[in-house]
Amino acid sequence: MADLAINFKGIQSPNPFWIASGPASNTKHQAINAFEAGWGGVVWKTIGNPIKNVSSLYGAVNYGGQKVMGFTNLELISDRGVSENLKEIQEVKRLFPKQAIIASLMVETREEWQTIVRRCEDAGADGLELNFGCPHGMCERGMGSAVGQEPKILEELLAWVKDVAKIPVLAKLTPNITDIIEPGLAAQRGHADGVSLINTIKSIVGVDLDDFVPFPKGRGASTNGGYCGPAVKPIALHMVGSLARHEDFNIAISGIGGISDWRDAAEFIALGCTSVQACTAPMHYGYRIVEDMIDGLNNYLNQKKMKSVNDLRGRALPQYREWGELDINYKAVAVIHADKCIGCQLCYIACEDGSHQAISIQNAAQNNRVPEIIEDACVGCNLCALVCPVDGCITMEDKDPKSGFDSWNQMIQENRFNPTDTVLPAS
Amino acid sequence: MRTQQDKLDDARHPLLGSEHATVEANRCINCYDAPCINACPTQINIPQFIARISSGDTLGAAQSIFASNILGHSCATVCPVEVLCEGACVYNKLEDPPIRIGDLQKYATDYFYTNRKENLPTLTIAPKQAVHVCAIGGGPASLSFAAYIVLNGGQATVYEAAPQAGGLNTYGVAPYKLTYDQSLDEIALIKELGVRIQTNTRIGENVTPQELLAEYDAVFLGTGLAEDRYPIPVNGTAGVTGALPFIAQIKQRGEKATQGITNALVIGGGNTALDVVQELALCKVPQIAMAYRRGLADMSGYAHEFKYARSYGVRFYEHHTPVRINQDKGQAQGVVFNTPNGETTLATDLVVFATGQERHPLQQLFPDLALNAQNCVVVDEKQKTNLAKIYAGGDCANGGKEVVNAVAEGRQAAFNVLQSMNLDIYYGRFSN
Repeated sequence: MADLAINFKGIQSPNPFWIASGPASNTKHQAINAFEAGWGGVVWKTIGNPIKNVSSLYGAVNYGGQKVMGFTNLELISDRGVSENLKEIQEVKRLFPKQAIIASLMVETREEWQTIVRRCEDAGADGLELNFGCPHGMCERGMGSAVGQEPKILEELLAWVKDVAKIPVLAKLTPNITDIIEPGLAAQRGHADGVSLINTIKSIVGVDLDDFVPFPKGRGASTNGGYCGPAVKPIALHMVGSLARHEDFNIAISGIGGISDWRDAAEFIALGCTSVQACTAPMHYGYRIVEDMIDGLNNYLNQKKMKSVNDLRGRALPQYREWGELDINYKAVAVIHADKCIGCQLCYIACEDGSHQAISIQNAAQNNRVPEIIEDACVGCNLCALVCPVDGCITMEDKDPKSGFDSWNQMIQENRFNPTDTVLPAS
Repeated sequence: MRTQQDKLDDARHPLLGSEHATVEANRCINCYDAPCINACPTQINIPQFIARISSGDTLGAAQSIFASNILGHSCATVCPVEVLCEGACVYNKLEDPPIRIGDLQKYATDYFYTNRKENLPTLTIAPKQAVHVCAIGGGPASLSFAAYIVLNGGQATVYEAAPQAGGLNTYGVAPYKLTYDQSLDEIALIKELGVRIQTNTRIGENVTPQELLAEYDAVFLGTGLAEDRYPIPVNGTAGVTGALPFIAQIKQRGEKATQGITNALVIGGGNTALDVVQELALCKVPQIAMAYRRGLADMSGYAHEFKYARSYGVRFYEHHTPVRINQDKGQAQGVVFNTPNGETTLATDLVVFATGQERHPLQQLFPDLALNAQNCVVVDEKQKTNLAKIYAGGDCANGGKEVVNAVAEGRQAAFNVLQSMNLDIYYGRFSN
């Protein structure tokens, strides 16, 4: 059994899997069920001055018959009183002393921030997560993503919190910005112990074409919500990876965004995360999914001969490079393995209409409908392999494995790229 | 394997709910130059109608089907999809179940027939063109011929001797596949499109063939195969019937048609024989046997249909050639067979001959009409006969194929009539 335990800058957790702050971490009842199922931590639904919600709250994007590929919500922070939430945190912490409870917080004034920090510590929270990410309902009031979008304000609020906090503090970041590096470094300057990202993305998930009300529908109208679920994972991975590999960034990361199974979690950890958080997946299937996440991650680590989940952290970062650093001499070419081909010719039409006209069906009629690659025209784009419905039928192979390394950056540095047919005619 | 009740329910209800249909539609990988299209005699654009189901445009899916096959509703359940579209699906090469094309087609066309009364736009008819044709016989081939003339802006009249059009769809196809009402629904649509159907009208009696040739730009022969043929003398024995009159009885009277029958014997080895034994099983006849003059391997019936028949407990006798019928006071008691081991008798109280049909005497109407050795009307690839202005299709020309072949041949003839008159063909463009 690999060691799945983590230490997130002082927050101890038996495994890296945390329930993200949200509808699945709202109450004592839910936190107990989550811990009993095996979750290592619960980031309690954001506590602040109680709010009032609208109805309805959630919407989803279904794709290709798959339900809830993307998910949205209009829900605000906790609608329950501060004392009630803190009392429950205290009771759960007493029942589960080895698991992590992180209190998510969102208030406005310095006095409110410093007061709620002390009250959470008194309740026994292991850490704090400052909600600078919520993109609907709260940002209009100057909180949530309104803070995450202003690095200076973010830094200042963090300073208020860090002035009084004795337990680790995470800043939860919004993806509704142009460059995640700015709020990430601002959090670090504000002495955050870590960041958690991404919060949800501003969204409209659809429109009812009968009454023309966007989803999720209120009475006769709707509003923009926060998008999450499996669809957002690539965006989250990029933001996490960008921060983790930044030379000036050195605080811990808790990854969030569409994490539904051990494989998603392992990818976030490989891009530098210490813990990972899930919300949509447990909302869809229940807390029980963590059993598969624990066993799956353990099996993976054992197969890779890694003794601890900490050995996995950041393993993909050296391979995440700038475009200009990639090996420009690498030439991939598609190979169709005729024995596996079922003759659907999707590769043909995709390449013909959508890429580089490098697949021929000229001889397909005599050849079980199997198309052929025109090697000279193939640019190694992957499109055919991506659309092929048969595993391993189309592979990408290195056309010239012996070619030496070169890169765009080197070519430019050494003045070796001089195209002639340019926008401004050569004088 | 599905139960008997399932099969009856299948014929009357959609096989797939909308959620299931969407999931199944999304399994389709939308092949380029899709093999399923080429395996369909009517060349329905299968990936297109499936993609329309997937996007929620079920009406558009039905329109896409009808653009190629106006009887797409009956073909969805009558077609032997195992050897046509679904047999060609690339999933077979993965050893995965093929896309349920027939079920999806039924889903789309059921939706169309269920909703079309509620102001649902149906099919668009092309601008008027000066062409007026007629068809003799009201079965699938003629209905298809007439419908594609009318959809292309022309006029068409169908002459049918029976009280209802539809031919085998109405009177012959086993009801577990297609009910009487479903066939009449399709005819109602074709009438709404503008096809005139004159039932109870026999050419040569009420109307002469010369009148037709004088009045119409083209005449289509779609008379099907004629009366049942008995390989041995039956002499009016009670309890002996041909397959088609028997199915017509079941179709109209249900289980009442087999009341009192305890031991039925079906003679023949084709798909009609297999249909009859399954209908007998569904009517809960306690003992059913099937006798065939050649061996199991020689049977022309589909293997999957035979498997279903066997699942109902039907006994099968191969190498049994009927010799004579034993009777008592005019009621059949048994059939005597020649077998490799000498003569043997099988007891029965109902003998159904599914041994083929006589060809229709079309030459009585058109004495110079060319027939081949199998007594079928000779047609070229355009469905044209040797006589000017006369086309033919369906069983009378192909010797007895599927409904979908009849539809394809009728449509082909319609297009060739239009082409020969230098008119426009709006093939595959009937939508709103």
